[in-house]
Amino acid sequence: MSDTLPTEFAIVSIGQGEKAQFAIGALPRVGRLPFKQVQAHATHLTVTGQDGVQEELGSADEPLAAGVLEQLHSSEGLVFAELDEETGAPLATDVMKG
Amino acid sequence: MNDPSLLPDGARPQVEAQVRGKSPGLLKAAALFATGLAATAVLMGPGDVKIGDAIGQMQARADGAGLTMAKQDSAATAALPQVSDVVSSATGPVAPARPALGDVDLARVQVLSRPVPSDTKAAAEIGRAIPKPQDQEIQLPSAEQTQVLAYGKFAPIVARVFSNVTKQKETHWTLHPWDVARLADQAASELYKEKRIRVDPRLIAGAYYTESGGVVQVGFDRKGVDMINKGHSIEKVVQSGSKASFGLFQIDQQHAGASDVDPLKGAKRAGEFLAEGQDNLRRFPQLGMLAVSATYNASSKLRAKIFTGAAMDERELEALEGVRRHAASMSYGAAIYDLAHRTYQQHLTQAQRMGLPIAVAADQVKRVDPLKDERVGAVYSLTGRQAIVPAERAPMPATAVAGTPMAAAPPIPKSAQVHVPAAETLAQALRTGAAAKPPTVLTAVAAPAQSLVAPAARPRPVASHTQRPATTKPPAIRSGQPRATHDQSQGEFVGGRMNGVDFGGAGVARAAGAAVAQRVENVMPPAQRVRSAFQATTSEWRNTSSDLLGRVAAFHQQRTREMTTQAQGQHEAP
Repeated sequence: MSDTLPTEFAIVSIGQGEKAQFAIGALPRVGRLPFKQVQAHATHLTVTGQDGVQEELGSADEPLAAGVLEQLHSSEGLVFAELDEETGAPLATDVMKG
Repeated sequence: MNDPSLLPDGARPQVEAQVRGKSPGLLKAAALFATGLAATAVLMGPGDVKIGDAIGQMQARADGAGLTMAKQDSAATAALPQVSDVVSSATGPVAPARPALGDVDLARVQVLSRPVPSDTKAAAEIGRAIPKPQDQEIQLPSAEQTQVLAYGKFAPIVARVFSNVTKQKETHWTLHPWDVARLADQAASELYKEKRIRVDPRLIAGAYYTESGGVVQVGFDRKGVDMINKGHSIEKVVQSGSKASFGLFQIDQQHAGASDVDPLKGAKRAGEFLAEGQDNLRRFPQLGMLAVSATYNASSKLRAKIFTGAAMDERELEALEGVRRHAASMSYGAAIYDLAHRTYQQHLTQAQRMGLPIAVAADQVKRVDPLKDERVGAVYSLTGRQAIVPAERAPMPATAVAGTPMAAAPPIPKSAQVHVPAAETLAQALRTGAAAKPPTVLTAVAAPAQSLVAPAARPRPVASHTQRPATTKPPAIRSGQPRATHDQSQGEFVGGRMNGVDFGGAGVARAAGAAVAQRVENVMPPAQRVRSAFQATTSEWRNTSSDLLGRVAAFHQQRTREMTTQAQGQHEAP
């Protein structure tokens, strides 16, 4: 529980400027989705999987774009998708809301 | 360079993927995800698309793709169970149809559905992922074939391809895909300048790749192939009067360009030829590449039926399959063009930004090529080669090159023949235009691309070319000695830098380029002379596979010298 996994992820956006919408994609990890907990920090997110493993999405050094965090707090939420490595198809998704 | 009129601008969503991490798997997945997202957004129509909804649709499609194969036409389904109706599939899934496809198709579809990576290494990796020909036997190319290959700036590759025409596997030396992309761009722009015909270079390149099983083919007609398959040497085949083919011209064997050896000239002719297909593509955008193929590969009656969507009898449906296969291959070729064009252009831009040509003219000025390492790395990746033995240190003769450029060629072969739906899927993507070409920008944040290092940050070793001694040979020493420096050229050729003239691809004003093309045409020595020159100079290393590089390099140098000589002559003339 105390260990935090450095997670490699992708931020995919559609649209530009203020209209940009974001989603987060990562390669699948067994036992992750649906998230047990999502903590929003000023610069990044800490998510806790079903198995209790914590993962950092971004960091203070590599902050997420403001738009990403804004979307988390919006009514729509931020989609986290586990992506098929071969096809890029979203295998499993979870919507994070702040 | 693409004709924007082919791609409806309004439907293009701006999609970006930014990757935090170095995993190539994630990089690929993110890029594909972004592509799929763009395609889905297009399908969802104009207006504000919610990203969550789009992802939901994608997921539903991925889940259900295996179950929702369209069963449209009983005759077609009986023959090829996975073929879906052209028109209805235009509105069907565009995302990679992984679960719906058979095993054999998978590799091809994956290649097809990949977005264009922005860095060369990744492109090379993709190139590598394309299934390789099994048979690596290499045939020696004829002098004419060498002439075609001499166009290339990158190491040629050997491909074992299945020919639609001969229904046999053929071995071909081919131009590097990057060279083909350059060729298509160049041909398209020259064609426009000269005749005001604007043809999308994707079509030209698509035709090139398609008609030649992946890359520019340098092969023979059926008789020649039969002879080769019986073990005769290329020389014997040439002597037998067998007609050599040069890729593109197979679009139409009767075409006037069928005897052209200059690949650029041939590409321009093909461009003219393809203009009609492109017009039909504009008139019937829902048919996508099928509209182009039908222009050339269908009877006028069938063509009309394809265009109007009229009902067909059994025989026509059978013929339609052939057209579809061709269209699928064209789409595949166009997809390869996208990939090759992007990566080649990227190199070019960087080289120009640094004020250095992508290819340094032979024996003129010693200049550092900062992209060399990366390009060499990419060529390694493409060819699976581990190292290049520096030419100077390598034993003579032609073993100088460590390993030949091998078969990393993207082959069309069997899968192009049998498995339509794969490429049809891509054809869908291509035909929806925006879906196939979303402006995906892939930024590897944590993986610094070597090529993107700022020029200032790179040490610029002024005169230290690591692989070449400082013996500068004056240009145009003599024009009749093709082999003079072939060992040097080999090393450079493999490294992606060919001694010789840059035919405009590196940003040299193509105004000069047009003149160059003209000159090439004029100074081309008689084929017989070229052949005998090569025979004389290559006899001792004829049996090695790296033979080709020497011959290409030698030919290139010879041509450079002759052109230089002639250019000087022209300057002196009033």
